Amino acid sequence: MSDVLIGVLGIGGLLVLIAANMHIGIALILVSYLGLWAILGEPAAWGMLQVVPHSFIANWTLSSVPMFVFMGYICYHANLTRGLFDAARLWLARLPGGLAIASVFGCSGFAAVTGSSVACAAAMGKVAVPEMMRNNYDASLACGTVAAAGTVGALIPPSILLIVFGVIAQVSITDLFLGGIAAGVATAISYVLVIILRVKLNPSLAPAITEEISWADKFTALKGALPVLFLIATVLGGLFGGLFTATQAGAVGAIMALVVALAQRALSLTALRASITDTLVTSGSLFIVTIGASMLTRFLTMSGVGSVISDTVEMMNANPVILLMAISLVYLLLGMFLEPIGAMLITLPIFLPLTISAGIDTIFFGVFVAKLLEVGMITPPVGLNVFVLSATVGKSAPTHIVFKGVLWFFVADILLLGLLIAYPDIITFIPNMF
Amino acid sequence: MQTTTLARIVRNVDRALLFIASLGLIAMMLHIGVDILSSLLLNAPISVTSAFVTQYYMITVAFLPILAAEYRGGHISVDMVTRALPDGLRNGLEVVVLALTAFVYLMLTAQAWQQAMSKLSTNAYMVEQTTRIVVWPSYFILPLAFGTVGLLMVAKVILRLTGQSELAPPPVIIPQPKAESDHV
Repeated sequence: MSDVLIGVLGIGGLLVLIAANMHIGIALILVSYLGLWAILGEPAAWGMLQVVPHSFIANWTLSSVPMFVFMGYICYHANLTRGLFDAARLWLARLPGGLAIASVFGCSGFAAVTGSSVACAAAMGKVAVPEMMRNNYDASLACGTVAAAGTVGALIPPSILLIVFGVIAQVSITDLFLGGIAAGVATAISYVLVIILRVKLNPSLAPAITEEISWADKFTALKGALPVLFLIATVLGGLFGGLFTATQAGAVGAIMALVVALAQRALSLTALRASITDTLVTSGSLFIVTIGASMLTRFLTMSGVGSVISDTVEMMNANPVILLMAISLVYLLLGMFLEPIGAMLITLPIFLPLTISAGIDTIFFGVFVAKLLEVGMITPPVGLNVFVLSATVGKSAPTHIVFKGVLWFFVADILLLGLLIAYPDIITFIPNMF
Repeated sequence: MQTTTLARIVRNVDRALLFIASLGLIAMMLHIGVDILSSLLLNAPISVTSAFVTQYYMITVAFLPILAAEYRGGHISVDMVTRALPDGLRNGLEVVVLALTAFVYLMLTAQAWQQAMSKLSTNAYMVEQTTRIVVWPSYFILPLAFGTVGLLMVAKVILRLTGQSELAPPPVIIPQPKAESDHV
């Protein structure tokens, strides 16, 4: 059997194991082990199992992941970002669909303290959706907005997806984060436009708010948002200003989130314990997938499958635009069934060399992939954000209502993806400025 | 009865590992925090920070909670296809997947143990700037983590094959959404 055939069988076997509900990390390790055994013999496969786990994890850049996750969970459990939504709510109340727009702002703000879109949707789901329902907003608009806007969480830095991409692709996390800002802000703007358009077309979706809001109220609310804004400014300012590495920024963020939460008396011992446990459980499930992905990269490189695919693509003389469109299709499909990090990690060993040889900027590609995978968080059948939001809000938000609400935002996402392919500078201009 | 004893053992091991990992997480945060302060204020960074973070804290935080992730069901997986299968077939498939998972973890345990023993025998250390840091103990965290998960998986397979009830995960501290596909 040729090595390439072994590689192809390996990929097939991997998909079968994942479909059979095996954990992605374990499936990756098993397939890579058996594959390397078939190609190089048992000692090489055995050696890989021994070397990879410890050496891959003992990595300074990767250590920013638990720090940022911890910071996000502290903010989540201590409800620190409620102030952001409250301020946005009062300042934007007069706009058509003002509360929905405020929840997009709230999500974007929360995105700057968390790296995960699920956490973002859950946090705003607790706060913003009840507020919108109280003001007689249409349930599908209210829930759809928050489920979709949650995806900004994985684009605006910090972003776990982008850190993992950066470690695998060996590019600067800071540059990826800077690119992520542009993609996140572009997404948020497109969602605000969708809301305004929908409410203009059908004002009954979001009845105008009649209560008088004084300037004093507005400024008090703004003051409530200051601690979190300060936290965000320090962490991201320190990182982009070159004062901290990503890991240091994460640690400073976690410490500051703890201090802010304690000062506001917002952090009970139970909430602290929950933040720690959630952070650890997230690490426990995430890192084993990254270890598996690192093994898969070795296996696929040895089998030569990657080079066969790149040669084929080169022979077809596909231009970068066609290539990006094909890759988008694969990710949109995978994103429907797989969780983003898993989907990214099983595909990068093939896609990364392809895009590099096609001359596509790796920073652009990382941010683009993050955006693509986040679209999968709101598409059926496994749109995690939709399910999480539905579970957070409760009876008034059954999943079909939320899916109906996200449809509009999905259309905006597809348009934005097209725009990003046509004008990659939207993502790269900020990293290029630094 | 046996199941309850087993459930108690798993719960205690889970708690113990999570406790150690919690210490690792907090220590990592504080150590990096103190390092930054001392480098910004005193211009004297702690020379061993990166070695400690990568060799000890990261290893603790990444590996010890694997059991918790397995036990609490937080592992990333998809169950779209298996849900559509008839009960008998699905049960059989689940047992096969569990057994394969147990096999992978036990194999990783054996590997990691072998590596840890060889690091111990050479008294493995690394040098950061001028400080010598002993690193071999961190290699023993891996077999501990993989071994406990491997045994949990073996226990799950045995429970399934003997038709006993499953191990219930511990109660969640604060009711909150998790990235699981339960709601599908």
